[in-house]
Amino acid sequence: MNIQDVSPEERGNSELDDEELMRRLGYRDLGAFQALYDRYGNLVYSTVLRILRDVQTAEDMVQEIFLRIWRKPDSYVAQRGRFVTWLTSVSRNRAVDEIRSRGRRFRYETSSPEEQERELPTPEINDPALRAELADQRRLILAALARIPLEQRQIIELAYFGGLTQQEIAERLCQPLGTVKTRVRLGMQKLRAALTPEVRLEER
Amino acid sequence: MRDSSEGLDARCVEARELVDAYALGALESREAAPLQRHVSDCAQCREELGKSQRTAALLSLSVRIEQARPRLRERILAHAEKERFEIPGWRRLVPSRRVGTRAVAFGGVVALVFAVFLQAQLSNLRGDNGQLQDQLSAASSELEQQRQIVAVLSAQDTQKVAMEQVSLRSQAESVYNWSPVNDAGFIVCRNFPAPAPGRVYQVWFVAGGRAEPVATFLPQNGGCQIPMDMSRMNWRPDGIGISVEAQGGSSRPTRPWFSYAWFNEASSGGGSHDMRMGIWAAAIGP
Ligand SMILES: [Zn+2]
Repeated sequence: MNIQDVSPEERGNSELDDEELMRRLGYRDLGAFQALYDRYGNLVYSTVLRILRDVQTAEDMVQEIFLRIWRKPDSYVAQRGRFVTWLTSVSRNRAVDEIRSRGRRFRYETSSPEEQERELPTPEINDPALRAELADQRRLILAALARIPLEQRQIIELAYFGGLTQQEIAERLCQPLGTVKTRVRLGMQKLRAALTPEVRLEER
Repeated sequence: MRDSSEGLDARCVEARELVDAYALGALESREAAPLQRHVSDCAQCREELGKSQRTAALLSLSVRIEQARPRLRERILAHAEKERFEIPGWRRLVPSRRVGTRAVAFGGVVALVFAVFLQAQLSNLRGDNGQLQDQLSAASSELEQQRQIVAVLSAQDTQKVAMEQVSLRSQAESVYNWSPVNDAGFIVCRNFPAPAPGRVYQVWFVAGGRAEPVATFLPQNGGCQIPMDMSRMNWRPDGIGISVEAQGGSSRPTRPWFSYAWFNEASSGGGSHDMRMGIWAAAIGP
């Protein structure tokens, strides 16, 4: 088939940027939705799995998140920031709301041996499941995290992935609340510095 | 660089102290509400909050990437297709070519700017350390280990047991966190004195006449964080103890407990100090 026979809409959704794909969701473009899922499905899944730690619950949540986007694509406003940032925030917040609302009643399903196997740590730097642009950002954030002191990083992770408040972190780590607050601020400042070009330039 | 608190309204100073915690979702709702009100009126603090939120959102990219099962994709796409024309208020619109082109062009510029910035950052990293790949591999595997600890600490079912310190003069504190669903435990300690040269602290799981070594450690600035994977244990301990042992650890506790905790009252044998020491003595045998 000659490439000229294909309309621009049908030609390679995978080459369009996120914001354009989101715009097309407004026209009920199923191909655009599929392209978004193929681009970010694994990232959203990995994020919520990291927080919920249960495959079944994580899958249900990925479905909920993507279908919500499909139903209400205008909940994303391009002027406020990049799509991937918005999507990961939505995913993280949804998953944390879930563990908080379940509270102590929450129990993990017994996972199969293959799933337990999957939970063993395996560092993957060049992940083929991520597009090159995301893979670069992943390297940056990993390097930035590696450079901040362990005690600050741990608190940031407990808050972001564990869904704990500063108060709860202080209790669980036997640290004074003031120490936890200081570590949150110092750690986030360092991450911001490592990830924001302006700040780095000013530091030189 | 200008001090961020210079010339700021007191309410702004207060707000700036909270933006990072807010972006991480770590504020109690009573702390978050005043901040939300303030940023709705104050453009500068809103901007600061935006920066923190963008930073926090990038944390998601640090997770280990898992492949979702293909059937999840099928399920989601099938739902989407079924609902395609069921959305209330949906109108079939023909996308305007002009707007589309502008949107693509705008997206292109943003992506380009970001790509340039990333390139600069990455070459910066390479400049700092030619072994970037090694450094990242090490960082990534350390992060994963760290995340096992975070998993235990943040699990909803985590039980916290304050350990008792045997020495009355000791300022030492230690807490045992145990998450049954993760089949893992975690000791946090502080104010532990450095052991005598050639000696280490050793952690033991104890049940009846049995004591199994778990880990040895030297406190750093008096603190410790000891993760314990219990998934391969085929017995359930009644308690946990820490003793001071020779470097390299012992196969049985050879000294009295430095600190210990019994997981439930029934297993503490009435809770007397002697009984606990009795269990310890039984553990090391005649
Ligand atoms: Zn302000």
